[in-house]
Amino acid sequence: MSQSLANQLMVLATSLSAIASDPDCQEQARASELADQCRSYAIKKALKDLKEGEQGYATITASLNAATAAADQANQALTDVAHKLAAVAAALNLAAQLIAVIGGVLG
Amino acid sequence: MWRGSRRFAPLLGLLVLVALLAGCAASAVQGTKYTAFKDSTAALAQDTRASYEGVQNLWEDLNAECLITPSKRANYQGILSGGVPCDMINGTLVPVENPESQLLGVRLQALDALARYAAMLNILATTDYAAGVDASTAKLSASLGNLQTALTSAVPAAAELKPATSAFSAVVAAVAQKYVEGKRKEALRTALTDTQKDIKTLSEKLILDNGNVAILAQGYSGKYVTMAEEQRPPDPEKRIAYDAKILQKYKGGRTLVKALAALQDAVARLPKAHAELLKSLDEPGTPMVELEAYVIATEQATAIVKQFKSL
Repeated sequence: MSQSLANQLMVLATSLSAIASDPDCQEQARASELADQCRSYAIKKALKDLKEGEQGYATITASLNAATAAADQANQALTDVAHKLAAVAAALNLAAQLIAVIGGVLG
Repeated sequence: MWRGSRRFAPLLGLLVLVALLAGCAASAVQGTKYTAFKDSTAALAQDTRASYEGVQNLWEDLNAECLITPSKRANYQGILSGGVPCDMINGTLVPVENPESQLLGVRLQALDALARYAAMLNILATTDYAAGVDASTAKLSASLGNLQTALTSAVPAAAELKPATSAFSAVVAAVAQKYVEGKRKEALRTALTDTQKDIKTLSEKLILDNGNVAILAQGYSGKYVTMAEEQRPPDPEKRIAYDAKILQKYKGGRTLVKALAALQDAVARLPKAHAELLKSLDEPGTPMVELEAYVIATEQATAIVKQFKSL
Protein backbone atom coordinates (compact mmCIF):
# COMPACT_ATOMS: atom_id res chain seq x y z
CA MET A 1 0.00 0.00 0.00
CA SER A 2 1.36 3.42 -0.91
CA GLN A 3 2.06 5.79 1.94
CA SER A 4 -0.38 8.61 2.53
CA LEU A 5 0.67 12.21 1.97
CA ALA A 6 0.49 12.84 5.73
CA ASN A 7 2.83 9.92 6.28
CA GLN A 8 5.26 11.13 3.62
CA LEU A 9 5.31 14.58 5.19
CA MET A 10 6.07 13.03 8.56
CA VAL A 11 8.91 10.98 7.05
CA LEU A 12 10.27 14.19 5.52
CA ALA A 13 9.99 15.93 8.90
CA THR A 14 12.04 13.15 10.49
CA SER A 15 14.73 13.44 7.78
CA LEU A 16 14.87 17.21 8.20
CA SER A 17 15.14 16.79 11.99
CA ALA A 18 18.10 14.49 11.41
CA ILE A 19 19.74 17.19 9.26
CA ALA A 20 18.95 19.81 11.91
CA SER A 21 20.62 17.73 14.58
CA ASP A 22 23.88 17.50 12.62
CA PRO A 23 26.28 19.99 14.28
CA ASP A 24 28.24 20.41 11.02
CA CYS A 25 25.17 21.50 9.13
CA GLN A 26 25.22 25.15 8.08
CA GLU A 27 21.45 25.31 7.83
CA GLN A 28 20.50 23.75 11.16
CA ALA A 29 17.94 26.39 12.01
CA ARG A 30 16.37 26.31 8.54
CA ALA A 31 16.16 22.49 8.59
CA SER A 32 14.52 22.57 12.02
CA GLU A 33 12.00 25.15 10.85
CA LEU A 34 11.17 23.13 7.73
CA ALA A 35 10.82 19.96 9.82
CA ASP A 36 8.32 21.75 12.03
CA GLN A 37 6.38 22.98 9.01
CA CYS A 38 6.29 19.47 7.60
CA ARG A 39 4.82 18.32 10.92
CA SER A 40 2.19 21.05 10.79
CA TYR A 41 1.12 20.05 7.29
CA ALA A 42 1.20 16.36 8.17
CA ILE A 43 -1.13 17.07 11.12
CA LYS A 44 -3.39 19.15 8.88
CA LYS A 45 -3.58 16.42 6.24
CA ALA A 46 -4.10 13.63 8.79
CA LEU A 47 -7.01 15.56 10.33
CA LYS A 48 -8.48 16.26 6.89
CA ASP A 49 -8.31 12.53 6.09
CA LEU A 50 -9.90 11.69 9.43
CA LYS A 51 -12.75 14.12 8.74
CA GLU A 52 -13.29 12.64 5.28
CA GLY A 53 -13.17 9.12 6.67
CA GLU A 54 -15.91 9.89 9.18
CA GLN A 55 -18.61 8.91 6.69
CA GLY A 56 -19.75 5.35 6.96
CA TYR A 57 -19.12 4.84 10.66
CA ALA A 58 -22.71 5.69 11.60
CA THR A 59 -24.00 3.06 9.16
CA ILE A 60 -21.63 0.43 10.54
CA THR A 61 -22.60 1.28 14.13
CA ALA A 62 -26.32 1.05 13.27
CA SER A 63 -25.81 -2.28 11.52
CA LEU A 64 -23.87 -3.75 14.46
CA ASN A 65 -26.50 -2.47 16.90
CA ALA A 66 -29.24 -4.10 14.81
CA ALA A 67 -27.36 -7.42 14.77
CA THR A 68 -26.91 -7.21 18.54
CA ALA A 69 -30.63 -6.53 19.03
CA ALA A 70 -31.54 -9.48 16.79
CA ALA A 71 -29.15 -11.78 18.67
CA ASP A 72 -30.63 -10.57 21.96
CA GLN A 73 -34.10 -11.39 20.67
CA ALA A 74 -32.97 -14.89 19.68
CA ASN A 75 -31.47 -15.31 23.15
CA GLN A 76 -34.80 -14.33 24.73
CA ALA A 77 -36.67 -16.73 22.46
CA LEU A 78 -34.36 -19.58 23.43
CA THR A 79 -34.77 -18.82 27.13
CA ASP A 80 -38.53 -18.76 26.57
CA VAL A 81 -38.53 -22.41 25.43
CA ALA A 82 -37.77 -23.53 28.98
CA HIS A 83 -40.28 -21.04 30.35
CA LYS A 84 -42.97 -22.39 28.05
CA LEU A 85 -42.27 -25.96 29.15
CA ALA A 86 -42.46 -24.86 32.77
CA ALA A 87 -45.81 -23.17 32.01
CA VAL A 88 -47.16 -26.42 30.51
CA ALA A 89 -45.99 -28.24 33.66
CA ALA A 90 -47.82 -25.72 35.86
CA ALA A 91 -50.97 -26.11 33.75
CA LEU A 92 -50.79 -29.88 34.06
CA ASN A 93 -50.43 -29.59 37.83
CA LEU A 94 -53.51 -27.42 37.94
CA ALA A 95 -55.36 -29.99 35.84
CA ALA A 96 -54.22 -32.75 38.24
CA GLN A 97 -55.60 -30.79 41.19
CA LEU A 98 -58.89 -30.23 39.39
CA ILE A 99 -59.20 -33.90 38.53
CA ALA A 100 -58.50 -34.83 42.15
CA VAL A 101 -61.25 -32.46 43.29
CA ILE A 102 -63.68 -33.75 40.65
CA GLY A 103 -62.77 -37.33 41.57
CA GLY A 104 -63.46 -36.55 45.24
CA VAL A 105 -66.82 -34.95 44.44
CA LEU A 106 -67.92 -37.78 42.16
CA GLY A 107 -66.70 -40.26 44.76
CA MET B 1 -58.40 -51.26 29.86
CA TRP B 2 -57.49 -47.99 28.13
CA ARG B 3 -56.69 -48.92 24.59
CA GLY B 4 -55.54 -45.46 23.45
CA SER B 5 -52.07 -45.76 24.96
CA ARG B 6 -51.48 -49.05 23.13
CA ARG B 7 -52.62 -47.58 19.86
CA PHE B 8 -50.14 -44.72 20.13
CA ALA B 9 -47.29 -46.79 21.56
CA PRO B 10 -45.51 -47.47 18.20
CA LEU B 11 -45.81 -43.83 17.18
CA LEU B 12 -44.46 -42.74 20.54
CA GLY B 13 -41.52 -45.13 20.21
CA LEU B 14 -40.73 -43.75 16.78
CA LEU B 15 -40.89 -40.20 18.12
CA VAL B 16 -38.44 -41.07 20.89
CA LEU B 17 -36.04 -42.64 18.39
CA VAL B 18 -36.22 -39.68 15.99
CA ALA B 19 -35.73 -37.22 18.78
CA LEU B 20 -32.77 -39.08 20.22
CA LEU B 21 -31.10 -39.39 16.83
CA ALA B 22 -31.69 -35.71 16.21
CA GLY B 23 -30.21 -34.94 19.60
CA CYS B 24 -27.08 -36.91 18.78
CA ALA B 25 -26.64 -35.14 15.46
CA ALA B 26 -26.97 -31.66 16.98
CA SER B 27 -23.50 -30.35 17.65
CA ALA B 28 -23.25 -28.03 20.60
CA VAL B 29 -21.62 -24.70 19.77
CA GLN B 30 -18.20 -24.47 21.30
CA GLY B 31 -18.40 -21.43 23.49
CA THR B 32 -14.76 -20.73 24.37
CA LYS B 33 -13.92 -19.29 20.97
CA TYR B 34 -16.77 -16.79 21.28
CA THR B 35 -15.52 -15.83 24.73
CA ALA B 36 -12.03 -15.26 23.30
CA PHE B 37 -13.50 -13.18 20.48
CA LYS B 38 -15.56 -11.14 22.95
CA ASP B 39 -12.61 -10.51 25.30
CA SER B 40 -10.26 -9.50 22.50
CA THR B 41 -12.84 -7.21 20.92
CA ALA B 42 -13.54 -5.52 24.26
CA ALA B 43 -9.78 -5.03 24.70
CA LEU B 44 -9.52 -3.60 21.17
CA ALA B 45 -12.22 -1.01 21.91
CA GLN B 46 -10.74 -0.15 25.30
CA ASP B 47 -7.15 0.18 24.04
CA THR B 48 -8.21 2.28 21.06
CA ARG B 49 -10.04 4.62 23.46
CA ALA B 50 -6.94 4.88 25.67
CA SER B 51 -4.75 5.62 22.64
CA TYR B 52 -7.07 8.32 21.30
CA GLU B 53 -7.19 9.89 24.75
CA GLY B 54 -3.39 9.75 24.77
CA VAL B 55 -3.29 11.75 21.52
CA GLN B 56 -5.66 14.35 22.99
CA ASN B 57 -3.39 14.59 26.05
CA LEU B 58 -0.36 15.12 23.81
CA TRP B 59 -2.18 18.02 22.20
CA GLU B 60 -2.97 19.48 25.64
CA ASP B 61 0.70 19.13 26.66
CA LEU B 62 1.78 20.82 23.45
CA ASN B 63 -0.51 23.76 24.20
CA ALA B 64 0.77 24.01 27.75
CA GLU B 65 4.35 24.04 26.46
CA CYS B 66 3.40 26.68 23.93
CA LEU B 67 2.17 28.96 26.69
CA ILE B 68 5.54 28.95 28.42
CA THR B 69 7.62 29.25 25.25
CA PRO B 70 8.71 32.91 24.93
CA SER B 71 8.85 33.06 21.11
CA LYS B 72 5.24 31.94 20.80
CA ARG B 73 3.92 34.92 22.77
CA ALA B 74 0.81 32.91 23.61
CA ASN B 75 -1.73 33.85 26.26
CA TYR B 76 -4.43 32.12 28.27
CA GLN B 77 -7.16 33.35 25.92
CA GLY B 78 -5.92 30.69 23.53
CA ILE B 79 -6.95 27.98 25.97
CA LEU B 80 -10.44 29.43 26.22
CA SER B 81 -10.81 29.70 22.46
CA GLY B 82 -9.82 26.08 21.87
CA GLY B 83 -6.16 26.22 21.00
CA VAL B 84 -3.05 28.19 21.90
CA PRO B 85 -1.54 29.83 18.80
CA CYS B 86 1.84 28.16 18.47
CA ASP B 87 1.99 26.86 14.94
CA MET B 88 3.55 29.02 12.24
CA ILE B 89 1.59 28.58 9.01
CA ASN B 90 2.36 30.97 6.15
CA GLY B 91 4.00 33.38 8.57
CA THR B 92 1.04 33.48 10.96
CA LEU B 93 0.80 31.91 14.41
CA VAL B 94 -2.24 29.69 14.59
CA PRO B 95 -3.34 26.97 17.05
CA VAL B 96 -2.22 23.44 16.29
CA GLU B 97 -5.30 21.64 15.06
CA ASN B 98 -6.61 18.80 17.16
CA PRO B 99 -8.95 15.89 16.51
CA GLU B 100 -12.00 17.25 18.32
CA SER B 101 -13.39 14.55 20.55
CA GLN B 102 -16.40 14.14 18.27
CA LEU B 103 -14.18 13.23 15.34
CA LEU B 104 -12.58 10.31 17.17
CA GLY B 105 -15.85 9.64 18.99
CA VAL B 106 -17.58 8.18 15.92
CA ARG B 107 -14.78 5.62 15.65
CA LEU B 108 -15.09 4.72 19.32
CA GLN B 109 -18.87 4.42 19.03
CA ALA B 110 -18.45 1.90 16.22
CA LEU B 111 -15.91 -0.04 18.28
CA ASP B 112 -18.21 -0.01 21.31
CA ALA B 113 -21.02 -1.34 19.12
CA LEU B 114 -18.65 -4.06 17.92
CA ALA B 115 -17.76 -4.97 21.51
CA ARG B 116 -21.45 -5.17 22.49
CA TYR B 117 -22.11 -7.34 19.44
CA ALA B 118 -19.25 -9.71 20.37
CA ALA B 119 -20.58 -9.91 23.94
CA MET B 120 -24.07 -10.81 22.66
CA LEU B 121 -22.63 -13.48 20.36
CA ASN B 122 -20.87 -14.94 23.40
CA ILE B 123 -24.12 -15.02 25.40
CA LEU B 124 -25.88 -16.77 22.51
CA ALA B 125 -23.07 -19.29 22.09
CA THR B 126 -22.40 -20.09 25.73
CA THR B 127 -25.77 -19.93 27.53
CA ASP B 128 -26.78 -23.39 28.70
CA TYR B 129 -30.34 -23.30 27.36
CA ALA B 130 -30.52 -27.10 27.62
CA ALA B 131 -30.18 -26.86 31.41
CA GLY B 132 -33.33 -24.73 31.53
CA VAL B 133 -35.08 -27.17 29.23
CA ASP B 134 -33.99 -30.12 31.40
CA ALA B 135 -35.25 -28.46 34.57
CA SER B 136 -38.55 -27.59 32.91
CA THR B 137 -38.93 -31.10 31.49
CA ALA B 138 -38.33 -32.54 34.95
CA LYS B 139 -41.18 -30.33 36.19
CA LEU B 140 -43.28 -31.46 33.24
CA SER B 141 -42.56 -35.10 34.01
CA ALA B 142 -43.53 -34.58 37.68
CA SER B 143 -46.71 -32.78 36.61
CA LEU B 144 -47.60 -35.57 34.22
CA GLY B 145 -47.03 -38.01 37.09
CA ASN B 146 -49.37 -35.97 39.30
CA LEU B 147 -51.93 -35.85 36.53
CA GLN B 148 -51.66 -39.57 36.02
CA THR B 149 -52.12 -40.24 39.78
CA ALA B 150 -55.14 -37.94 39.87
CA LEU B 151 -56.60 -39.60 36.79
CA THR B 152 -55.96 -43.09 38.16
CA SER B 153 -57.90 -42.32 41.33
CA ALA B 154 -60.78 -40.94 39.26
CA VAL B 155 -60.58 -43.36 36.33
CA PRO B 156 -58.80 -46.63 37.26
CA ALA B 157 -58.10 -47.45 33.60
CA ALA B 158 -55.77 -44.41 33.42
CA ALA B 159 -53.03 -46.43 35.15
CA GLU B 160 -52.09 -47.61 31.70
CA LEU B 161 -51.09 -44.07 30.80
CA LYS B 162 -47.98 -44.27 32.97
CA PRO B 163 -45.48 -45.50 30.34
CA ALA B 164 -46.87 -43.00 27.84
CA THR B 165 -46.47 -40.03 30.16
CA SER B 166 -42.83 -40.79 30.97
CA ALA B 167 -42.03 -41.38 27.28
CA PHE B 168 -43.76 -38.12 26.43
CA SER B 169 -41.47 -36.19 28.80
CA ALA B 170 -38.40 -37.78 27.22
CA VAL B 171 -39.59 -36.79 23.75
CA VAL B 172 -40.33 -33.25 24.85
CA ALA B 173 -36.85 -32.95 26.40
CA ALA B 174 -35.11 -34.31 23.30
CA VAL B 175 -37.14 -32.23 20.85
CA ALA B 176 -36.73 -29.07 22.93
CA GLN B 177 -32.98 -29.59 23.20
CA LYS B 178 -32.72 -30.16 19.47
CA TYR B 179 -34.84 -27.09 18.92
CA VAL B 180 -32.67 -24.81 21.08
CA GLU B 181 -29.43 -26.07 19.51
CA GLY B 182 -30.86 -25.56 16.03
CA LYS B 183 -32.16 -22.10 16.88
CA ARG B 184 -28.87 -21.15 18.54
CA LYS B 185 -26.90 -22.08 15.44
CA GLU B 186 -29.39 -20.33 13.20
CA ALA B 187 -29.21 -17.12 15.26
CA LEU B 188 -25.40 -17.20 15.30
CA ARG B 189 -25.26 -17.86 11.57
CA THR B 190 -27.60 -14.95 10.84
CA ALA B 191 -25.62 -12.55 13.02
CA LEU B 192 -22.22 -13.64 11.70
CA THR B 193 -23.34 -13.55 8.06
CA ASP B 194 -25.17 -10.23 8.29
CA THR B 195 -22.28 -8.37 9.93
CA GLN B 196 -19.28 -9.81 8.06
CA LYS B 197 -19.28 -7.12 5.36
CA ASP B 198 -19.60 -4.27 7.86
CA ILE B 199 -16.86 -5.71 10.04
CA LYS B 200 -14.56 -5.86 7.02
CA THR B 201 -15.36 -2.23 6.14
CA LEU B 202 -14.86 -1.18 9.77
CA SER B 203 -11.48 -2.90 9.81
CA GLU B 204 -10.36 -1.20 6.58
CA LYS B 205 -11.47 2.22 7.80
CA LEU B 206 -9.84 1.85 11.21
CA ILE B 207 -6.53 0.75 9.69
CA LEU B 208 -6.39 4.00 7.71
CA ASP B 209 -7.66 6.13 10.58
CA ASN B 210 -5.32 4.71 13.20
CA GLY B 211 -2.49 5.50 10.77
CA ASN B 212 -3.67 9.12 10.70
CA VAL B 213 -4.07 9.26 14.48
CA ALA B 214 -0.49 7.95 14.74
CA ILE B 215 0.63 10.86 12.49
CA LEU B 216 -1.04 13.23 14.97
CA ALA B 217 0.78 11.58 17.88
CA GLN B 218 4.09 11.83 16.03
CA GLY B 219 3.41 15.43 14.99
CA TYR B 220 2.37 16.63 18.44
CA SER B 221 5.27 14.98 20.26
CA GLY B 222 7.76 16.22 17.62
CA LYS B 223 6.48 19.77 17.96
CA TYR B 224 6.58 19.48 21.73
CA VAL B 225 10.25 18.52 21.69
CA THR B 226 11.13 21.27 19.19
CA MET B 227 9.39 23.84 21.36
CA ALA B 228 10.95 22.54 24.55
CA GLU B 229 14.41 22.95 23.05
CA GLU B 230 13.98 26.72 23.11
CA GLN B 231 13.78 26.68 26.89
CA ARG B 232 16.43 24.11 27.59
CA PRO B 233 18.36 25.40 30.65
CA PRO B 234 21.97 26.29 29.94
CA ASP B 235 22.96 25.10 33.42
CA PRO B 236 23.96 21.41 33.08
CA GLU B 237 22.60 20.61 36.56
CA LYS B 238 19.13 21.95 35.77
CA ARG B 239 19.30 20.51 32.28
CA ILE B 240 19.34 16.91 33.56
CA ALA B 241 15.91 17.14 35.18
CA TYR B 242 14.50 19.21 32.31
CA ASP B 243 15.70 16.76 29.64
CA ALA B 244 14.33 13.83 31.62
CA LYS B 245 10.89 15.46 31.68
CA ILE B 246 10.91 16.25 27.95
CA LEU B 247 12.24 12.84 26.97
CA GLN B 248 9.52 11.22 29.06
CA LYS B 249 6.88 13.04 27.02
CA TYR B 250 8.66 12.17 23.78
CA LYS B 251 8.85 8.53 24.82
CA GLY B 252 5.12 8.65 25.56
CA GLY B 253 4.47 9.88 22.02
CA ARG B 254 6.63 7.16 20.49
CA THR B 255 4.98 4.44 22.57
CA LEU B 256 1.60 5.76 21.51
CA VAL B 257 2.62 5.48 17.85
CA LYS B 258 3.69 1.88 18.49
CA ALA B 259 0.39 1.17 20.26
CA LEU B 260 -1.57 2.54 17.31
CA ALA B 261 0.46 0.38 14.92
CA ALA B 262 -0.28 -2.67 17.08
CA LEU B 263 -3.98 -1.76 17.09
CA GLN B 264 -3.83 -1.49 13.29
CA ASP B 265 -2.44 -5.00 13.19
CA ALA B 266 -5.13 -6.33 15.55
CA VAL B 267 -7.97 -4.65 13.67
CA ALA B 268 -6.59 -6.04 10.38
CA ARG B 269 -7.05 -9.55 11.76
CA LEU B 270 -10.60 -8.94 12.98
CA PRO B 271 -12.57 -9.80 9.77
CA LYS B 272 -10.78 -13.13 9.26
CA ALA B 273 -11.31 -14.13 12.90
CA HIS B 274 -14.99 -13.25 12.57
CA ALA B 275 -15.31 -15.22 9.32
CA GLU B 276 -13.65 -18.19 11.00
CA LEU B 277 -16.36 -18.22 13.68
CA LEU B 278 -18.95 -18.57 10.91
CA LYS B 279 -16.98 -21.34 9.22
CA SER B 280 -16.61 -23.25 12.48
CA LEU B 281 -20.39 -23.34 12.93
CA ASP B 282 -20.60 -26.00 10.23
CA GLU B 283 -17.12 -27.39 10.73
CA PRO B 284 -16.66 -27.56 14.50
CA GLY B 285 -13.22 -29.11 14.10
CA THR B 286 -11.85 -26.09 12.19
CA PRO B 287 -8.52 -24.99 13.72
CA MET B 288 -9.10 -21.43 14.90
CA VAL B 289 -5.88 -20.04 13.42
CA GLU B 290 -7.24 -16.59 12.53
CA LEU B 291 -8.98 -16.18 15.86
CA GLU B 292 -5.79 -17.11 17.65
CA ALA B 293 -3.83 -14.55 15.60
CA TYR B 294 -6.44 -11.92 16.46
CA VAL B 295 -6.25 -12.75 20.17
CA ILE B 296 -2.43 -12.58 20.13
CA ALA B 297 -2.46 -9.28 18.21
CA THR B 298 -4.88 -7.66 20.67
CA GLU B 299 -2.80 -8.93 23.59
CA GLN B 300 0.28 -7.32 22.07
CA ALA B 301 -1.58 -4.04 21.60
CA THR B 302 -2.82 -4.18 25.20
CA ALA B 303 0.74 -4.70 26.44
CA ILE B 304 1.98 -1.61 24.57
CA VAL B 305 -0.99 0.50 25.72
CA LYS B 306 -0.24 -0.58 29.29
CA GLN B 307 3.38 0.45 28.77
CA PHE B 308 2.20 3.85 27.50
CA LYS B 309 -0.12 4.33 30.47
CA SER B 310 2.70 3.58 32.90
CA LEU B 311 4.87 6.38 31.47
